[in-house]
Amino acid sequence: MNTWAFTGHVGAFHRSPRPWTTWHAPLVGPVFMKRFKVLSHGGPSTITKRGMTRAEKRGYHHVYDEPDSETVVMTWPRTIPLREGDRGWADMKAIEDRLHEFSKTPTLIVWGTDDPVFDVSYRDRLKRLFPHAEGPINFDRASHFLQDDRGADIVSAILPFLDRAVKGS
Amino acid sequence: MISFVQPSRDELARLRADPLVFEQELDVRPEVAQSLERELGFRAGRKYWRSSHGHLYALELGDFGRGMPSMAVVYGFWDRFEPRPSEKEIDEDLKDFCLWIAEVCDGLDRADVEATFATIFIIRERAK
Repeated sequence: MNTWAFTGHVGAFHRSPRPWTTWHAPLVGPVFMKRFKVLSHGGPSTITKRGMTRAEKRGYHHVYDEPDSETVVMTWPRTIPLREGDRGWADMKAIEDRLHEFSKTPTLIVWGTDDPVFDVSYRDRLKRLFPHAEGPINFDRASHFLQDDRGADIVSAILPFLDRAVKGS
Repeated sequence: MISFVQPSRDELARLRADPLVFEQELDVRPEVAQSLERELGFRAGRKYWRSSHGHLYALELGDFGRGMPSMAVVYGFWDRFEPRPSEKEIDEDLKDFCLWIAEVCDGLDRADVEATFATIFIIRERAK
């Protein structure tokens, strides 16, 4: 589901300068993240395709109520490996180098096609890396939090796959 | 543009330091940390400035021995016996500070920072 596990492919969102020169930038980032809560309070409600009620938004936001709860939102994106030398590059490369070990593992690719962060180019790259994988099963009206936008539909797609995988094991 | 000042010991004695911004990973983008060292003239130390609202602030850099500044704290200095200034004024002062950072640091862009500040109102409305 909408993620990556490889180097050497950077989609449009990750290529755009603004997340890295603002939200995740040193010194400027803590102002945006901790003082203005642009991601912890802005992210879930901005990215939703189905729309959220006020109570649902509050549910996503309240875990970031404490002054320092934003630290993880600020620091983990700095590990995203965009280019060689970035903090997460070596780890991602190590993961990429061992993906072939899953070549016989039952795999299903499920994708939210309205995700501006992991656009369908990441899906296609995963399919090339896992040619044995079933899918992709695409879900429109599903963005970065696809399990929130289309949770029940996604579960309906995954359950038959899990049944087959368990019977085949 | 930020103009640095050197407050007197007497003035500082009347103020309380309020840590507003804590950057624990200043050197995660080495070009930013190195630019600040170049601009401020030190790897570890503190410089003060007075904002357009007249408030005194300081940027403090910390050296963890990694060949560049590795940590930073921004303090606001408020009258010891007076309420904190309005959050709106602090927001505006921090915006000026961020724009200055973007201007003097390699790898950052003032226009990007300005554009992101312009989205804060929209984000706050959507988050309600």
